[in-house]
Amino acid sequence: MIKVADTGSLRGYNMTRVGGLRPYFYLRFFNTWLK
Amino acid sequence: MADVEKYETPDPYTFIVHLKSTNAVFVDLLKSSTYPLVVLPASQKDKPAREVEIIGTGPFKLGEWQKDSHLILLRNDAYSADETAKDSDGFAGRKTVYLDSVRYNFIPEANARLAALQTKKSDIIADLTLDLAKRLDGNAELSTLKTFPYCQQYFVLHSTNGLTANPLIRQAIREVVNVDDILAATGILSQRNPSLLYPASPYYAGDMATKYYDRKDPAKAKALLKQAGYNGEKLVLQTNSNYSYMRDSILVLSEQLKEAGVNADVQVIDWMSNSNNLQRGTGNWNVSTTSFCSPPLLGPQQWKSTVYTFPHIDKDPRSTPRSTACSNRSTSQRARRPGSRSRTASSTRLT
Repeated sequence: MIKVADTGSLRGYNMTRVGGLRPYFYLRFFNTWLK
Repeated sequence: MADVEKYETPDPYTFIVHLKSTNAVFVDLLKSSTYPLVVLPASQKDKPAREVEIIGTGPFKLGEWQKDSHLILLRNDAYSADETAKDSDGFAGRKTVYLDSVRYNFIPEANARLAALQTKKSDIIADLTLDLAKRLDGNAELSTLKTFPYCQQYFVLHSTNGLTANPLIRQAIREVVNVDDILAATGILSQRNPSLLYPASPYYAGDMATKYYDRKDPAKAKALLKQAGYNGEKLVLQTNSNYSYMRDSILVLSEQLKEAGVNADVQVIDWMSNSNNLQRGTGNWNVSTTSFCSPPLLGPQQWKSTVYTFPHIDKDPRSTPRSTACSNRSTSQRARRPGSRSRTASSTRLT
């Protein structure tokens, strides 16, 4: 395999409707050793 | 689960898993968002993985699922939150639901997703490109959320089929890659990183892969091609029409290969076929592309259980060809060995 890049997630959201939205995904699901 | 030897349930609240061999990421995989551990009722236990009747026993239950259209989740009033925990914690902790329902609309086209946000038909949208995100600049009500780590994109080389069975050809392909040009064409949120691991991973070993990354040296590629005995044979680059970043990166790679004198042929097929070919080695391709998400976080053990189960991936990085001369023989049929694992498209991308 040839590495291209780390790709991120880019979301758009309505701050009035869902204020305080935070990144979750892998950092939350595999977070045991991250603490 | 190949490392699991047996299970035991000595009492109603204890579940013991015995492993055949050490697996450093087994506990992490049990809480994977890609392959989450679930308890199935006996009536569902023999059904194929994607044909289980989903009901939802957590904070939400299934409301309505129209594939290719929308999914509605409803608050599960029969769910009891863990009152001993302060907050939610991955799949566990205290999960308090403040919403009556959540609706997911499946909108494949990025401009249409952005329009849904701008017209307040959606509150959150996924997979924005950097260019589209600029349209939200200066908007007091709408904003963007960037998340890293998420996934890593790779070019996958078929190491048992035709030209790319020759390591010198594979090295030549590596030499032509210009990462910045590829990222500029795809337009997705990305970061340069030579490693197979995210910098946040405990397995991250710094920049030891730097010398193999972003080579952009077509002259070196030409020398390797000459050494390999390359004589203008067709190199097949296979991609799909579903994921634009995959298609665009393959198109840029084909131009970079042509600059080094490679007869690059791009095939655009549907993602399901592309994904199956990637996993099984079928479809007579030499180069394709996909993303991996959890292996770069969980490290070598998880990489071993994903890519290294692909039948067409060279298991020994020290291997050398019997001859440096090129061969057009197709071994894709040989690669389709009994027992080789196959998974569906969506699971592969988010592995």
